[in-house]
Amino acid sequence: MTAIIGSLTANVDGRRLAGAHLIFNAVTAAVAIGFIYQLTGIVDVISGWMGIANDNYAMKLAVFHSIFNGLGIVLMLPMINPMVRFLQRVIKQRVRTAAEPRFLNSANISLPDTAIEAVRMETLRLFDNASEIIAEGLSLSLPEILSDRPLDEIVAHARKSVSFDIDERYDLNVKELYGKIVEFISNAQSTMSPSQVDELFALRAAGRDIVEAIKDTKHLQKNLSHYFTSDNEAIRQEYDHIRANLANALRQLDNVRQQDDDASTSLSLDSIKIGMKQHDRDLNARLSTLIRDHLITAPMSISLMNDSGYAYHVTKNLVKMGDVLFSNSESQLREAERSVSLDEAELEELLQKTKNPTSEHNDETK
Amino acid sequence: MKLSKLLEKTKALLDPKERKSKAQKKNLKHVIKKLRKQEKALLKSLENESSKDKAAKIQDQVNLAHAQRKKGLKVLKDLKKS
Repeated sequence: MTAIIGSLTANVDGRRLAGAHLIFNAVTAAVAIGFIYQLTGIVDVISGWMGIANDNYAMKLAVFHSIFNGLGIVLMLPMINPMVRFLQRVIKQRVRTAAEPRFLNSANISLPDTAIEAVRMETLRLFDNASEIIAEGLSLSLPEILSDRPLDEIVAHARKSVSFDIDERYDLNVKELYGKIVEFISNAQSTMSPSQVDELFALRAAGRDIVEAIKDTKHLQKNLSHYFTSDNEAIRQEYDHIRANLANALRQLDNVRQQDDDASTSLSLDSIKIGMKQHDRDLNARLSTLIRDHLITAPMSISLMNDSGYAYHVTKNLVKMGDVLFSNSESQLREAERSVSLDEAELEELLQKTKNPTSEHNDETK
Repeated sequence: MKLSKLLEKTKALLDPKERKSKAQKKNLKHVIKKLRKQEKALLKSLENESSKDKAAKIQDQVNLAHAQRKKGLKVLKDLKKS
């Protein structure tokens, strides 16, 4: 009975174990009751061998208990496989969809800090679902992107276009979950202080950034799936660059998520932004040459420019989301981190310096 | 300590604006320290890097950490002024 009560909150394996425990005891008890007189005789014989006095009932009970358990093992050993099949059939694993919230429940809505953490965890799940969609939109697999393998190699090998309906996946795995997060936030904010409400709103905005990133991936996917399998090597290479850069953004974001408190989140996020800016800049520099040398057609160049823009926006939205979602430090420290993060103009200036490293040196020597 | 100085300190302790500014400075100093530590670690790994491509990437990171640290110091200076 204790095991059954204990298993009420356990996972499916815990409940199956409690079921097995119940069957073991019930079957052994039924057989023991049926053969109670014979068992009493066996207890007396064994007690005699062990030198237990006839009136030492406590020790005799211990002997009976050992015999009971031994009998249970003998009875149940041949029945293990049928019992496993029976328990698996009766106690089924609850199928959870990706859109089903795991952390939002009415119990934590009245506790502001717990509610904020629940929303953060759920928004992280939203990001996980979105990452899979974005990776598939690039015709890549997310586990491979997050592995240690060089991204150029992964992109070069993934030459088969993955055809799937982004809208359908968005409706199934993201929209519903985001809707539940927004609903939870609306209900939770009434009991919160203004700074806690601000935190919730920032998390809601992070969710919106995730949704925007998926929308941009959808626009990108249309041309990308066509051009990265094209016979034209130049356009194929350009689209592979876009795929590798976006995959790199996903990998770096995952690194930011895993990093400890000693590392600066703003440094890692700015590094992702600068990488995407650099890619956009390099593409613009190459574009004229590609057209001039008739390596790509004018319509191809327009698609490429648009899609590079979409890729840039996907990264920008994901970085914005990461700024809110991946920082474990308290809000004041987070604010300080944000204050050192570079804005667009400062990033441009830094890129310029990287391009012409001598100019900075000259400036400093003047 | 003179009474005027003591009163000034007590006032600063009770003033929420002053308290907030003090916390901001403390957090900013923490972030700047963290950036300096990362910059130093990056410079160290740059010295040991033999691959040109990887070295260029690390150098970009060093430049970024440096730019962020400089910005942090500027914000801290402004905070101290106000």
